[in-house]
Amino acid sequence: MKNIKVVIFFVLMCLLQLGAAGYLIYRHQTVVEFGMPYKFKCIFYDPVHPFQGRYLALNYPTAELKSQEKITGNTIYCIIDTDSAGYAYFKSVHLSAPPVENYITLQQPDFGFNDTGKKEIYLQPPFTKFYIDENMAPKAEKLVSQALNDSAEVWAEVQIRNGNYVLKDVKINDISVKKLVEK
Amino acid sequence: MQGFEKKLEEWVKAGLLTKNTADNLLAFESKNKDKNSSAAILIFSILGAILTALGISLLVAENWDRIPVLMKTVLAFVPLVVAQILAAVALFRFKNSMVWRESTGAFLSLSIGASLAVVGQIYQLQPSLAGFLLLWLVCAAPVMFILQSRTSWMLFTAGATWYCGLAGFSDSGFSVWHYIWMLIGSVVFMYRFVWNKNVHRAFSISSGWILALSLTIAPGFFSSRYEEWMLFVYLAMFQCFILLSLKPAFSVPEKWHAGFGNIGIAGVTFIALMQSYQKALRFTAENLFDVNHKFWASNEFWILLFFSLVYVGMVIYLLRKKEMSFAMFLFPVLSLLIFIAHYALQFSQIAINAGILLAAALYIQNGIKNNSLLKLNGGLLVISALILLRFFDYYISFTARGIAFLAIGMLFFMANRMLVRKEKMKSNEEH
Repeated sequence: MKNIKVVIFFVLMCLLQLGAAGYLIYRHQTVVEFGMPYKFKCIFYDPVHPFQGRYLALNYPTAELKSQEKITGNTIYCIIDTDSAGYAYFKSVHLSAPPVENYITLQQPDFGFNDTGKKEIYLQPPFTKFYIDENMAPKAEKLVSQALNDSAEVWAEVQIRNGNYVLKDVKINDISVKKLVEK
Repeated sequence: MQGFEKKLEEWVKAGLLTKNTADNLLAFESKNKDKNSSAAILIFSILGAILTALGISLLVAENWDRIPVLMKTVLAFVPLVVAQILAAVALFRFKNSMVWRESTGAFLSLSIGASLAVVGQIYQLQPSLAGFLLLWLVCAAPVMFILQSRTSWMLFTAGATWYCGLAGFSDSGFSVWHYIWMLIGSVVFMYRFVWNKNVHRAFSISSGWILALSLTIAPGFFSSRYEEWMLFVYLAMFQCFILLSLKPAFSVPEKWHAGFGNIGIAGVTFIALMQSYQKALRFTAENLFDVNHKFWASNEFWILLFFSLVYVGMVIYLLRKKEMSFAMFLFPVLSLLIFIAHYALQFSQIAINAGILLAAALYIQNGIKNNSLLKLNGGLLVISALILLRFFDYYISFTARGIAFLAIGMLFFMANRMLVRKEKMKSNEEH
């Protein structure tokens, strides 16, 4: 009898562990299949992390939004829209989930004070890490600084649905960074 | 074991042992075999498990970009599934082998983390470290209970402390209060599998230290606006640590409380020394009363209330057991003195300084009486620290400072020499 209990608990434990990893994949897939694609203008550099290895750290200077909205909870919701040049930006901030699909959820954004002393929250896109081959990362960093000198377009391709997002690719002049560095 | 059996046979043949005694000896030894089956094997199997898990993930990472996504996903699950199978083998086939349970427990705990991390990386998910750790902790919590693995417990407790720090410090949006259920899980495991069983003494000691350290690190991350009140939270907590280490009132395994006792005493001493400094004391006393109605809802208040209640309960229990000691009342006395500082700074400062001096003197006396070099030097160290700190808030001429340090140096030499001599004489008498 006791043995059966152990078996049940053991199986539940295994399912929980497999389920956790599976859930991450499931959430990702629904965003990829049903999400709306956006292009975020970005720049990136190449930091080194002891556990995560090398990746590209992305920055989005033009997509940011400063808002004087008063935050009560930890979570806020930002609606994404596209400008005339085809790039995405943060359009508006909401304290509860808006009734549209094109928003992302942000946790505890940074805040500061503007020139007149009013408290402001800074909203930045949260997809800041693009994992890439260890040996390619420094090369990619060089590529982007070169591209920016040549005033090329660098953007991140992101798919967004109901608060969740997937960073699909980083592109320089419509060519994937991964393909560029392999040349 | 085989060598032992051979020897027994030889002894029986030589007529040194009866067959009956030899059988009894053999039965006794094999019963204790698992317990004694050398800590070395245990440690090396755990180390092996950890290194294997890390090695596999590094090897896969090296060739990562050449593998298609579906294959990558399958690979991400491999360490987890292998670890689960090994854990099942340990649980149902080698249930009584501690080596199996501990090493598969460690391997499984780490594999969960590896799998989650790799999945996150394949799909370019962007979880914060706190979110990742939380998911890992939820998945790793059952491992220690089901496999009864103490190594898993250590990993879990360390992870919980790390999570607490991340959630408390960074703006990840994850609640620091999750630490509470982790702590409860950790303590329940401790109660169930460390206190009630014959565990290795080394594990008993180290697990006490780990839990005490985790508890010491955590409260700081709960602090909100009323940082000065954190002082009392820590004071109450360290006092509880000290009470816990007062043998033999609480029936805990041998040396389990060493970590609590040492951290508790060091903590209270540190706080007292800090508050013996006039400027610090004045600052604390001023800010203590700078509270509004929100204080009653703050983390500081509730945690302080919790530890105070625990403290009162423990003291009542100890008094009923006719246990009485100076160290039982450090928290109320020191708290009262810090409160009084708001009205009578000078008095309070002198009292705190005198109190530290008295406590250190008692400690030194105790050390000499019990031949404990640690206690003796600890007491002397506290006195030196006290004198050194007084140089900061009072003008004392260099000659006087020099003489003070010379005196303390001599005291260190003489006291230690005396103790060592006493020890030697005692051992000579015994021989």
